[in-house]
Amino acid sequence: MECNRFVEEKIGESETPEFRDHLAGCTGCARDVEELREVRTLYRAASTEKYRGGVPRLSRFRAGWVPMAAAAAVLMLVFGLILGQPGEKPPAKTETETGTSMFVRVHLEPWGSDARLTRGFDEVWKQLEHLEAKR
Amino acid sequence: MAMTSVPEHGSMDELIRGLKAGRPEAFERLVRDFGDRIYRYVKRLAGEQSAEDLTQEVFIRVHRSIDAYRPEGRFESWLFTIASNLCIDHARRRKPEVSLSELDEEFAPERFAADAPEPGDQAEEGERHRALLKAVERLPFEQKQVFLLRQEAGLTFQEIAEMTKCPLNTALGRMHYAMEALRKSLKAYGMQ
Repeated sequence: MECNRFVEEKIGESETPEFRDHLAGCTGCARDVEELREVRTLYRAASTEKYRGGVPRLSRFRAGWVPMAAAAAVLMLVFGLILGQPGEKPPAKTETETGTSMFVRVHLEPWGSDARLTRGFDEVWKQLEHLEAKR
Repeated sequence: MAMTSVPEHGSMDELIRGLKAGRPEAFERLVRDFGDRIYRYVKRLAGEQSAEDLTQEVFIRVHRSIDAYRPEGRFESWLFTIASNLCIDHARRRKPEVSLSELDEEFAPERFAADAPEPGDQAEEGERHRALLKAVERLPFEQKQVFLLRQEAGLTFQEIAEMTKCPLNTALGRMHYAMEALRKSLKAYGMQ
């Protein structure tokens, strides 16, 4: 049917001379155009709600490797300081600790990412012993 | 006949530069310029209850991922894509076992006509507005999305087609069906 060719024109998205000619002889399409225009106009008048939520609290940092790396470095430093208190000997390893891996989950809200730092105890002890030896 | 959406203050480039630099005033402007439209879009797609939270979430996502925005596409298109994805995720979370087409059935426009008052009731302007907005909310999801992307976001049909990953004619067809459904709903109310 010829009327079906003019979808874009009927919904008010374009105006072609061809459609204007068609409208002159087609009362159905003329009514469609008028009523669909009214729908658009009415919607614009009706859709007036306002957003009242305000500006959300945002972090100064965004997701990316720099803040992630910085957070990981700080965590490692703190961890190292806690375990490496002067005068304190690291506790002897037990059998159950051997081969057990340490799992640290860093939840990086408000960046919105998680980072998992997994490191074997053996490696950490080695590093601490190395630091002790240097002191 | 694309609807233009010019930000209220300053250029769009300026806004995007500010967002990328993480300037708080740029985010304030983003909320001021787009808050109402995003809110209405989200409200009609996801419902009033979650609309404010979802709108906030849109702005948080923009903040987190503005570096991923590429100026090849219009900013509004990118912004409303974020809003759409959040609404779809939200709908799936609410009804995890239900597909979007099943959600459509729940909000079928035929149900709207059954609620209509007796013909001849004198409808005031406010009532017409409420009736139309209710009818929009009850449109099938894909039609509603296209209708709102055109009316609230001011996207072109080419942009809508790209965003919703459908051919241009499909996007136009959905708009046509949506408007026809709205027209019928208003007639069922005796308001047109």
